[in-house]
Amino acid sequence: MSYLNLEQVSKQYGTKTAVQQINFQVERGEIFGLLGGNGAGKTTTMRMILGLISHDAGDITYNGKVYDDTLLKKMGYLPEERGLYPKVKVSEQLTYLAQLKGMSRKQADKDLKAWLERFGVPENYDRKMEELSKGNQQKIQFIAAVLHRPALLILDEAFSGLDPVNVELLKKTVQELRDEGTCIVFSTHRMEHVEELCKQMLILHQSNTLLQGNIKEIKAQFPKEQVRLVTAAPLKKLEQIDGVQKVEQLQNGYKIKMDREETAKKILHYALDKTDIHHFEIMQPTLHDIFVNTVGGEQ
Amino acid sequence: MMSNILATIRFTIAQKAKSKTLITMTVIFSLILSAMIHIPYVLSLLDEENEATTYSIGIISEENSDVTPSLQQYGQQADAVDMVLLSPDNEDMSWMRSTLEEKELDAILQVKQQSSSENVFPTFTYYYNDESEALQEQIRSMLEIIKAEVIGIQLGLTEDQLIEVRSPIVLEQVSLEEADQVSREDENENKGLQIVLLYVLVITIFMSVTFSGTSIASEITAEKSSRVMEILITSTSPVQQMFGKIIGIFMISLFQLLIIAAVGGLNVVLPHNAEVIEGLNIAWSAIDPFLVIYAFVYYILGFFLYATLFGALGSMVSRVEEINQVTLPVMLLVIVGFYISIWGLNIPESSFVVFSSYFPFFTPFVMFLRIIMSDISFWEILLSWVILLASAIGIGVLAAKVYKTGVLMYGKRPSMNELRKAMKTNK
Repeated sequence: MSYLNLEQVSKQYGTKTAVQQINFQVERGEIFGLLGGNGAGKTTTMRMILGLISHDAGDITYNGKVYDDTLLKKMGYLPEERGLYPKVKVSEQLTYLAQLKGMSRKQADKDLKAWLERFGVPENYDRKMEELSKGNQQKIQFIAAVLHRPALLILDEAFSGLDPVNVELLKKTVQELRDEGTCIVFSTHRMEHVEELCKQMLILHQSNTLLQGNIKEIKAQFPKEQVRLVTAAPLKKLEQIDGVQKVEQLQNGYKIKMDREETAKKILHYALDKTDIHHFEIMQPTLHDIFVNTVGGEQ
Repeated sequence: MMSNILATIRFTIAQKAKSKTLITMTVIFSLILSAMIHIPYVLSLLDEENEATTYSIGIISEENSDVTPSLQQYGQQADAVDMVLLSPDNEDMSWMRSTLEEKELDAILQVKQQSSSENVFPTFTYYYNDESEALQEQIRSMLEIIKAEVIGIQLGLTEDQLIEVRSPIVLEQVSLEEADQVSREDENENKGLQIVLLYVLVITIFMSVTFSGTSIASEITAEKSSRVMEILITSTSPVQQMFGKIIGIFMISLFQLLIIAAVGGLNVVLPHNAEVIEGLNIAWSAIDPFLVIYAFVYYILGFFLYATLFGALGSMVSRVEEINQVTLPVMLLVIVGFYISIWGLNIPESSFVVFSSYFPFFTPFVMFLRIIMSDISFWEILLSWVILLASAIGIGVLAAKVYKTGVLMYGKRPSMNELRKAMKTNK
């Protein structure tokens, strides 16, 4: 049975609909991707899951039960707008926050040291938040969300503003938490992160569900409409092949957009006639393409 | 869930205790109090300086009369007077004038023996300057005693009889007409101390409420603007969060008061102060222990009433700069309550004062005034407590709701209408 279950959940602010009949389930040990443009209703959805605001219609259940205050201790939240006490030492505020989540001070302190060690920043233990670099503040914020070992973790734009090394570090950590059985709701603008981490996803657009399901299945639904081609000599008149819609000249080869998958064969034959081929690939649509296409198409 | 409140109280106290403002303020108040307690001692030092000046009085006697040695003897007995025997040749007006003007002597007493008979008591002339004018009465009574003694000796009285003559008269004054007034004066003197207690209470509430209130509001706003609030309210209920903070700041405020009181107490028992203060004859017994309990109840209830209000206001704004705008009306309430209690001292029974004493925001300031200054029955005190407590709980519940809604609202300050709408959609 899924741990988190949203059924026909809606939320209105006055006359404005923030979320319209949203449905999804997240299992333990699963990362669920919540996508959407700005103002699509992601934050409202997450706040409803966290119990910060009530929903007007539908049901949200946690392990089969409705929301109550005891759930607070089982949830971890990394808000999009990061924030901790700027003038308080990392150790003091994180042990305090963990205490609020029902952890003992001693245990929290011990675990905090382990986390700082794991992220390679043990020296931040005694520093004030405002003294840290942005990347380090992000790490501390992440620790604040997971220190008490939540069963349900809500990550809103977890990797924004981090350098690639730290993105990899946090990504690995999130995967480890998933493998330990944490139920994770993950929101982002960065499609490649969703592709890498999530099994299921949902795209929100203007309060409505635009697209939802297993990522592999979603991608399979979309036709493979692009060819990546690298040849020994430059090719001319590629756009004159029947079915080719757009040719993009890259630093190294071409990206060709076509009307249907069968056109790929024609491109391959044409290219073989002219020169040697170093690389030929019919490309899967990226989530990025799907997102831009579907959201763009709606607008 | 109690552990969450405790954790918040602990965190608030730990952070607050390090605050430089708090430490500075405690030190400043302690210093001011110490200085005030030292005022009687400093005044007594100045008095002693005045007392230390002794008057030296020159005596010019025509011949060696019996009076002169007696005068010198009495002069020795009196602390402030030093008798100096001058030669009879100094009976020169201009010399006397210059001596007195230059303050070589403070006064000159000339003894003139009546020529007719040896047994007649001499006459005296007292030359004085502006400083020794007041001494005249002392000299006169001194001479009267000497005269009685001289005559007694001439009459052949025994030593015992002489002592009897010297002994002072016992005159007890009882005015039947004024007996009532005397006791009223007594009562007013007792009131004086109670009024001091009133001022202490009113000023303490005023200071605690304004400083702690602003501090509660600004900390909540700071938590909002630093966005740590979103983490906090997903960890603990807003009500626990708000009350944990208020209790924490209350305890800090109480601790600060205790420190200042301890500094005051220490100053009072310092040996040099203790002596002077004992001399003031303060009737500590005039303070009914119940009064102190009442004062404490009004302090606590008043604090929580205002603190929850400040908490709710702090949750409504997103930026620390906006706090003054929203807290201003509450500040005005505090100031008005404060002034009513000061101004109402003379008219404690006026209907306005009576009415204000039941208006919960003024009760902590005004009810205590009525307890002291007018006859008030216990049910009135009890009623004021009930109203105050009910309002504190009511405001607390309302504040918790506003807080819960307010902490999630960012951007411009919500209007009352927007806030009400948001509270509705939010359970």
